[in-house]
Amino acid sequence: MKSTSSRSVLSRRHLLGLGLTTAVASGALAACTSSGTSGTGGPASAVDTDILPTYRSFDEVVPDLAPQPGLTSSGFFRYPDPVAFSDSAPGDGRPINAMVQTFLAIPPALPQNAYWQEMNRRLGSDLSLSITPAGEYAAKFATAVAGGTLPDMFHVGPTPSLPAFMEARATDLTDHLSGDAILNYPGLANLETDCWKQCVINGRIMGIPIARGIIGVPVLYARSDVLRERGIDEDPASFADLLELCRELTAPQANTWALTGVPMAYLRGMLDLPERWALEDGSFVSTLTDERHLQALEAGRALEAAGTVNPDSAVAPLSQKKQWLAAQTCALHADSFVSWFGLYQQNAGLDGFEIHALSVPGYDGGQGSQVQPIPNVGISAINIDAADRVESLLAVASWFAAPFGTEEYLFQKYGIEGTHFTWDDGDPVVDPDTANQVELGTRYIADATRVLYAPGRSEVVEQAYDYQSRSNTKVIKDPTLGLYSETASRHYDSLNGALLSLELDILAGREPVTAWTAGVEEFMAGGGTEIIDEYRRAHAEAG
Amino acid sequence: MRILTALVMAAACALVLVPFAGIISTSLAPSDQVTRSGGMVLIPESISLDAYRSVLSGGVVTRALLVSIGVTVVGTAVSLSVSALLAYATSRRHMVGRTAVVTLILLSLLFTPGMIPSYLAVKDFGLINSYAALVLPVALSAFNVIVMRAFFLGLPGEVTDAARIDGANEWQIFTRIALPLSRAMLAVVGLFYAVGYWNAFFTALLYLDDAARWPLQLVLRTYVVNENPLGAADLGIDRLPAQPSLQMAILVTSVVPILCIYPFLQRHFATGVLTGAVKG
Amino acid sequence: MSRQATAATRRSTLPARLREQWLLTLFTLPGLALLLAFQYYPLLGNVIAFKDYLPFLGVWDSPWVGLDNFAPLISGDPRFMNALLNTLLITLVQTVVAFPVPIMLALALNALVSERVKRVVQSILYLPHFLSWVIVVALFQQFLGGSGLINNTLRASGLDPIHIIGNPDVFIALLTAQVTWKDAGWAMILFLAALSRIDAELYEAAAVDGASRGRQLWHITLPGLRGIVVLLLILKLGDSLSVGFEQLILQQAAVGLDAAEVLDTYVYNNGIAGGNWGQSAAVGLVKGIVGVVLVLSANKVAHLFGEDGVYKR
Repeated sequence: MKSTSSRSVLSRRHLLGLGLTTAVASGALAACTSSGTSGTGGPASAVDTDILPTYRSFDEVVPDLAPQPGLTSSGFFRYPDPVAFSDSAPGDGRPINAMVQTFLAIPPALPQNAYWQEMNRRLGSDLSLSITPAGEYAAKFATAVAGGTLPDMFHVGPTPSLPAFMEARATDLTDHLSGDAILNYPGLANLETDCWKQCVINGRIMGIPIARGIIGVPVLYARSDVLRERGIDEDPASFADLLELCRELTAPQANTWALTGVPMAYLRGMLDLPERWALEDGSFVSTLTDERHLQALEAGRALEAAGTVNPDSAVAPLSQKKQWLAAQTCALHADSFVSWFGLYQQNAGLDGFEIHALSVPGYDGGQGSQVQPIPNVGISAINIDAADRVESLLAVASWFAAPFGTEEYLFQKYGIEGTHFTWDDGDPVVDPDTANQVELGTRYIADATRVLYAPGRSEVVEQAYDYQSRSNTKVIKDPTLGLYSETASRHYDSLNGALLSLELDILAGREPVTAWTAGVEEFMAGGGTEIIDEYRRAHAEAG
Repeated sequence: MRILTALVMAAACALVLVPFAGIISTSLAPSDQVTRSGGMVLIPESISLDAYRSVLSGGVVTRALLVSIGVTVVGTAVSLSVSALLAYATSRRHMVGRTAVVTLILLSLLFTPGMIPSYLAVKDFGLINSYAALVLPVALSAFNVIVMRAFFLGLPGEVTDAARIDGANEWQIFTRIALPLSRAMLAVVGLFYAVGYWNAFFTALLYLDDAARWPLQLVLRTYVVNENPLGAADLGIDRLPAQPSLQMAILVTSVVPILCIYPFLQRHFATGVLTGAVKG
Repeated sequence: MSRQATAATRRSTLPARLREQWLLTLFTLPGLALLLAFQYYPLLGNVIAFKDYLPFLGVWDSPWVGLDNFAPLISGDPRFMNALLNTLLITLVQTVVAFPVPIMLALALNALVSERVKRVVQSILYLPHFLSWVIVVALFQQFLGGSGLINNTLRASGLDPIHIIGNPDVFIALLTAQVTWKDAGWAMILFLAALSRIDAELYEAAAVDGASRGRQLWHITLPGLRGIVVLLLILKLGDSLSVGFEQLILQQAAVGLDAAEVLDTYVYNNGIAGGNWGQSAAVGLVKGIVGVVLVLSANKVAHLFGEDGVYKR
């Protein structure tokens, strides 16, 4: 029967999650269609550095584990004594309209929401929000753009021709943020320089980064308790080790498999192989024709052929895979680095549940590379029609980005003491009954730099910090950060989708590994060549 | 033959009931049992209402439920009246311009406007952020009109002819003869419309900016589709109900209200409703 | 009023006829207004099929690109042709296998004696319609998947698992099973309504004449359903280039695009994902035109067989 509501296909954008190896990869892809890639490559510095904002890290809160630039985040065992951050309310008293996405359940309406009321009071402006589930944000954003109904501040959704769009609809922030000007907005100044590169469009700062930094990298988790039970206390030191470990953890008769899915990002890391792009001797190249891709696919195929991957991995959503990990149906699970803490929380009721991220070995031993996607999950912008309020709106954004350890951060993430959380041994404990008031999605306008902090689990913080300091010594970065390719903005997702689908065919054994070469040729012919050219030009222009 | 039929029906019912039993069990099972099973639970070890408590806390769902009921009731009433009038008029053989109107209806079934043009139309008519935007753009389903029209065409000609001869005008024939003789069809199409309104979430997503006005399906969608329900990870809440329990509790919550209307419609499907009318 | 008196009014006066027409026209107005406002008015926006539509430029300011958006269709892009072929194949199988199921269910249900049993069965069978595709796909995986209930039991008892989910060879069968499970009970309701219109006196008369149940089915019940069956078939035909988008895209990864790419997912993967609204509009137009041709032809065929079809001659 025909249903009345089968209008749009875009509504199901989230379904495109398909079989991407990690949550982060897909998250970055969805959010960064602006740059159009989720590829990886060597270090890059492509944006005219003169224009970038000064980085001034907030140092009034002393972490238990000090951040090592480029290597680790700050680590905290307890929530520090909250310090004040701003001396006056950032708002100008006029209502602020904003459009955001959320990955959480929607909050109660303003009249029933003590948190939102308090937020308005502290902001000094009434915040009116259009909140959209992240999976449907692309559709909502496209209609708001088409209808000319974008609000004062908005999270930038996927759009072709991003530079033209930003020029037409976003306020130029350069004069307010470039160089030391940003110091007027200490929350924003606390965001690392790299994050801002994505916001520079045609040489002007047009947006605000939603920074995740090195928190969003893909990793492969192992159930430490399961491994220990079997007397395994060493991480695999090569691919052969990994394959053997996987075989050992697989017992189909007992309905257990080693892996929730083929960890392609991890395998590429073992081969020091950037997924799509790299800088070689300072010039921009594609790695797609690199032989190591065939090797990575062989490796993935070997894991699959040995029967070590859950047979339903291609049809199961991420939440299902997490359940497999919890139920010991699988013991290894590729996910984002941030999930480390979330997995513990979701499985707090499980006795003995313990995980750690496997270090990345080289394919034949030695150290492999940690894949580092673009450091942002997206950017936000201020409407060109709100240009007259830009200073106040930037102050609001800066307030949203108040660093960890401040009073403002505590309020934004945990709510009002007594109503939404209570203190327990130096950690805020959230009241589950009012918890759904506390997330309005404002973190997609501006957000603080992430730190390592897990209430009541200092040993997990320590482990995660150790992992960072070990793995980030050798990384694969995405060289497209700060570069723009018009062809990529229009065709990368579909071209890349075809490659990912081919990858799944190969892993499942439906196509031979050699089919990859033909797939890459198709990618190049369908627009890949133009994409490389455009990135190369952008890279050269930026110097 | 009869026994075979009964067996087939019993098997069909089992195919539906077993998964549904799983859905309800999972929504009620204790969190650690669900976690251990890694997904669905067929027989819960004990009954826990935690998942339902999580879903219903905060008042968001209650409010959305009222919106959904309102939109469904008003929408179905509007849709049924508009569609029945249109279907009836175009079923009358002597109506002038009938072919043109039927063609328009049929073509609208085959050519559907895209998401963005639809949004722009709703905006041009000033309906953004109004509940009317949840009803008017989807009020007329060409499919339903065509089905209704087929039923009206199938009405025994002698009855309506007799009425015309007796001097009844079209309004009287419509209300006193056509509608009463089509109760089964009205019940079915009414159900189609009602369920359509009940399940719709995309119209609200596009046309209503304020989440406080959202209907149930859209609100619950934010619980199910987002993989991180209730923000457990970000907020640092331990010991939330297991995700499958929540998902199934949400499912039950979203389906039960609309299921309640079916028994009221069912009696109209009884056979032989025409007999009396034709003779009388 | 007596018969003789009304025979005169049959050749009714012009004003009376006009008044009747006026009433009928009035009946159509609300429906027509909705159609024009929310179907035809936005349909004008489908002009973006011939444009490089950029939402921030607007429909009229976006540049014209001629037939660029129809390129995959015109050039016969192999991926597009594969999607088209899959679409047609799936439609064919579903029309042959899934379409008759609700009719048979309705007939079987109608044959049950007890009114109460009938009602209970009805209200059980229509339940799956209310589940979203995400849930239906998840349920099928939980039961039939490689790590699902049935295969777990098989393996635990030393038997070989059966490869259903993720097996391209049985993918269409799986899709059809899912569609049937989800919507057969729901579609049945319409046929039940059609059955309810059949004059009970016909059955009584047939029973008096000693007609068997089989003969009653053949001579009374089936003819009573024929009209609506033909109508629905024609409408389904018009829709034959659309097969369950959501159902397909959820399961594509498991079997690969060769088996699971259909027209709607092709448009999504190749157009909308990159913000190419023009291409989606272009394919929409083509689908509409194909639908019109199919419906018109099917309607002709129906007329040849003496059926009303969607509209009468």
